[in-house]
Amino acid sequence: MIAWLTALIPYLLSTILGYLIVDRIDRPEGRIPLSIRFFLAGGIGLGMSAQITFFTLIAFHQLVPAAVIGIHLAVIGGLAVGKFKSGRSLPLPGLPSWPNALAAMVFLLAFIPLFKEVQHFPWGGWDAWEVWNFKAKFIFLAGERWTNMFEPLLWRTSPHYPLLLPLANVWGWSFQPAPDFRLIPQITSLLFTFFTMGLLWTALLYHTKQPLVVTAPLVILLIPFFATMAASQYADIVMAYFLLAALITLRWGVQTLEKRFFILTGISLGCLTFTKPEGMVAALCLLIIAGGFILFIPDRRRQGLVLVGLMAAVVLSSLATAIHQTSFSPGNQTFINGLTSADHPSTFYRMKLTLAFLLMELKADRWNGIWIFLAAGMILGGRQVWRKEHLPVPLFLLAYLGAVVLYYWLNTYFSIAWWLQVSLNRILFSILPAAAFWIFGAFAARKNTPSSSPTSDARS
Amino acid sequence: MTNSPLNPNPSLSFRLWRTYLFFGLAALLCLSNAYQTNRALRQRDQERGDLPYLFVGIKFSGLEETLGDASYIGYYTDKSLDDRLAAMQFAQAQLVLAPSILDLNNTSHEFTIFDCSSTEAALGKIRELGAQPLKINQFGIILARTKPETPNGISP
Repeated sequence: MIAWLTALIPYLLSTILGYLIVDRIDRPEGRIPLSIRFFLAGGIGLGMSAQITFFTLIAFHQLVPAAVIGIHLAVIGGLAVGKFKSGRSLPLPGLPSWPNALAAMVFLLAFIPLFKEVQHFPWGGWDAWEVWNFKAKFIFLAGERWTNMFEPLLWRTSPHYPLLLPLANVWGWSFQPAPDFRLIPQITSLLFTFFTMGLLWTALLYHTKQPLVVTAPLVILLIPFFATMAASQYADIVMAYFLLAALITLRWGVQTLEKRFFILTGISLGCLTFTKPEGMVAALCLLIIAGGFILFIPDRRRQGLVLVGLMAAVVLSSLATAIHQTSFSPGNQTFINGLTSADHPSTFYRMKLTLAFLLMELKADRWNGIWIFLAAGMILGGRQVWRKEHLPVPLFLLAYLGAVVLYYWLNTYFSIAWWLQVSLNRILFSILPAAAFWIFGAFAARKNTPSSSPTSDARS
Repeated sequence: MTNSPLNPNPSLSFRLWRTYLFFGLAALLCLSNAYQTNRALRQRDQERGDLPYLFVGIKFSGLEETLGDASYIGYYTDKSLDDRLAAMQFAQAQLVLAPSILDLNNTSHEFTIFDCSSTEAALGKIRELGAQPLKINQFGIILARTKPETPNGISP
């Protein structure tokens, strides 16, 4: 228990950092409710901590835990002084209504299976030991030799993969001179699941004011396969989080046309690019969609402001990804362009198999019918599902799944049947919270936007 | 019809009806998922009771003391890594021994780990290479010096 409490210190600091960043953007008057702000702060804070750790690695040519901690404290101190000078007080949470209190209790209880699952798999799943935790341990122990992990010799560990998750774990270990290498990755995966589900719930609750929307995170969390994947210490839950955060803030941006929400979308997209190669594709799809919405803003001045805000946030928060990709990544070692390869051509059969497998996966038993349920919701919802403010999600799903199918067809390095079997379920896992946000949000929609109410959502 | 908690407009009865249907289905799915999760966890508890979680990488712990700060280590195996267990063992060995990098079936480094289907097979290969066994553990994993020590203790 003491080990757990000590291990939580870096996560607490990251949440404070995330809170102060969100607070700094959400001004002069706070529009984002406190509950949502907490869940945004947790994930964005961890994303920023990973980036700080990365820049420290580059600056010192090795991990210097004292420097990482020092920079965190300096940034938190600077932001806190700014907040103090602005004279804005911390909003205090009030007592929730009894239906919401009950919903919160059920929400927390739904995490018990996840805790048990984490205990069942203390070392996580295959990619945890082969890819993510290996990289984290390498960075933590290798000193100046940390760049050796980009050796093409280590192609099994996917040396081209972005580093947000390993660096978040390294940040977690920074407070421990001789860490237990199992505990921190467990906490990271648990917390990202908590932040993802919490963000889904509180964002839906805010838009609808209906306690019933707690069924959205519950229906996902209680799928045994989802719990297993979330407890596997993979980067897919991290990707799911930043994707959801980007879509929620983009929805607010589309509704209010306020720069602050587009900045938060940009930060989430930047972090998304640092999670997985799929995250880069997803971020690009979403950036194009956001750009499309911005094009339709009639007021030119506002259009310019919003676009600059979004792009500046994307560029700054993608800096770590850009440096990693241009200076360290050895490139994808497992890629054959099927369009130019005579030995491994992209065939029509490959495309047909990919599409068939996608349909099979959507109705596979392991999802307990969630995709069929969401598809039914899409049909049942009629026009409501396709209203302007909901559109970013279906447009994204269409573009992203299209890009994924195309990549499966184009890259012929792996046998397609095996590849689909081991990876397609993860693609669906990472988009599930976003899809649920769309359908549940459309069903219980009321016209409640962050611009139409004050910060404190104490009663909701 | 009275105002609904889900929709304040009583005139939209069809919309209301489908909203209730949707959330009713969601609640049912939650219950079904909770039942399945409970069943899966019980099954897992039983599995773990019969056979505790096995991290095969444990077979390689303790070798790092001898390896020092070697950047690269050979990893010789006569098993195919297409075999799931052999691939898992290799991946977990890489995690346990990080930041040393395991070079599969390359015995030109200062140290090589021999993970063979039998101790005899491993010793036979060690003899063939003229290597010097340094350590053997209870799992049959052998660490051997396959190349004379370099001045800085780090193999190229």
